[in-house]
Amino acid sequence: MISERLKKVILAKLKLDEFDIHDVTLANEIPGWDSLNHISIIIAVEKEYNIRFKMPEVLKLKNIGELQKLVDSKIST
Amino acid sequence: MLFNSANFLFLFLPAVLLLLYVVGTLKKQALIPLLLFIASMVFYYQSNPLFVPILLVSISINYLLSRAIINSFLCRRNIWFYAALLFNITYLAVFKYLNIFGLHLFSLLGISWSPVAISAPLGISFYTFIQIAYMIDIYSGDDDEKNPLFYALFVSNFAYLTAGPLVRYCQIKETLKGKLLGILSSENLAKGLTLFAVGLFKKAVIAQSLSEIVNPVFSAAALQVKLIYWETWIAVILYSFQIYFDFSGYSDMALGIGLMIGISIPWNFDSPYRADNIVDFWRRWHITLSNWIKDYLFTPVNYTLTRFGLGLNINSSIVSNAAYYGATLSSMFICGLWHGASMTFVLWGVSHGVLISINRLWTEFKNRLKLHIKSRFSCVLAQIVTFLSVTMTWVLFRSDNMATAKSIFASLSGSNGLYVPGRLLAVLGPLRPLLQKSGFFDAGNTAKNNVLPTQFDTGYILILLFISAFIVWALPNTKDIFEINGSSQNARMPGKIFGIGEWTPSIKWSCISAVLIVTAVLYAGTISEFIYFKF
Repeated sequence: MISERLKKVILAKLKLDEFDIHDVTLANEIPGWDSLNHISIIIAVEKEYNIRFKMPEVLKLKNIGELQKLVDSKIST
Repeated sequence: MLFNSANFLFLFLPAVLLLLYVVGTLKKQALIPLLLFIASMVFYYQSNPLFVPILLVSISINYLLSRAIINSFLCRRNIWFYAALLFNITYLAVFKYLNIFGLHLFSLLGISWSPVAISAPLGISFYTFIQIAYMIDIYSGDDDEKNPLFYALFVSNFAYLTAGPLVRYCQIKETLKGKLLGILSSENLAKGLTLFAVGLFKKAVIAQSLSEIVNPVFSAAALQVKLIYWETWIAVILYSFQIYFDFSGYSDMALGIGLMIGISIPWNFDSPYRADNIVDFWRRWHITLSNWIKDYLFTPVNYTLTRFGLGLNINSSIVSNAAYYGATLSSMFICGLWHGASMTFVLWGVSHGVLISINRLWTEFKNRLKLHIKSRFSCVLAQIVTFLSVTMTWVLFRSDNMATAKSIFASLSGSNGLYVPGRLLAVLGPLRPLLQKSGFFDAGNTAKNNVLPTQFDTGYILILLFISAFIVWALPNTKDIFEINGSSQNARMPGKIFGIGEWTPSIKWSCISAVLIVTAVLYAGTISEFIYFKF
């Protein structure tokens, strides 16, 4: 389940008003999320939650659900 | 052994398929990976017996390193991972770049150096990149391969060993592990054979015909002959088509062979010249390489640079832009170097990095001014600009050295004059007297010797140009026709011109593949190497 907080960060970074984001949504299915914006969004998420990803974690992300899981695991530790 | 050689077509491939069939009927499926591995080694041995041990050493050491990464933790795991990266980069550097770099380095130091008498092993860039990706993937937590035979087959399968596509373990592990697409299922065989036939036709008939016109012009440029403006433009545009038909033809053949032997190989091309910007071009051209560059170079470099910049408390928008341009230029520099250790390839890569950067600047400019141009005209114009930009970079790619490239660019820019040769005037009809009277095109002309062989008349060249352009821009591509993984999206199909729709096991498609194969075999008077074989 994608939290409202994560959704808000992503949409704000992409300057989108609304977009239906699910666990299985792929980054490139969200308008504007391409290799150009990818890192800016990852960094914005890090900033919002005050966490830091490792390079292999960034490379491994396959969809938004995995990003949410990664964020959750970082917050809980 | 080349895919378009008689040995491969009439001996090797039928023998492999027959053995697969025998093993399948005897219900000895477990032998298939071993059979395919031996076949791959026989295939590779034919190119040069010395290359086989070089490949096997790379596979063995990488296998051991991958096991060490998987079986260790924390600090040791990192050490093994970086050792694996270092090993692969060094291995590639020694076999591919040592001679060239050694020559430059020693000449700088004033020491004489005689290059080592070994040519770069066929496909070394491909199998090294495949293994680097594998190491990064397993280090990031993806599935690994425990069985050394499966690992060796994953790296060395003859379908993609010599010139790609750059497969990833996760993309083919299911089909590698015996969950085959169906051993010699009649539908996959027929489909694979048709795909192979299309690729063979692209290579042996179209790319071959185009090369006969392109080669004399580039050879003359290498000898510093002053080239005629129009001939150079024609040759440069035809080369754009040649490299597309050559390499996408090769990839089609690889995918076709994959289907026949039951391995699902990812697509490598998707009508790249229909791209309306340079980023889109790289999503469609050599897709497996551009994904490799994006995932294993661009993203890590971009992330590291951004983190570094933010750590210095610099404005985040400046950091994000600087990191993007830095990552783009360095990734494309490596991409150029991967193709070869020469200034022409490096400049080719960097010029693509510059084009991608211009694309970002243009996109930001449009966003700032809230310009949203989406007319049919602007789309066609964008496609033409993208095609011409890519065509200009191919000049660097095709030239043997910088002097040749300079000579071609000089002629393209009109510095040898804009002389229109009589043979072209002859087909211009009513424009002819106008051009002749004006005398404009003769002014300042210094190049009057035709370089193109006289047996090719202008009509033939224009027909070739038209046919190539028609296939590239109007016909459905092989990905549209043969979507292999069962996710055919016919909405993409740009009109079913001449009834060429999705592939079905039908009389129509068997006739098409028969005609393509027979024409290609009859046409292939001289077997020519694939352009991408030298990488």
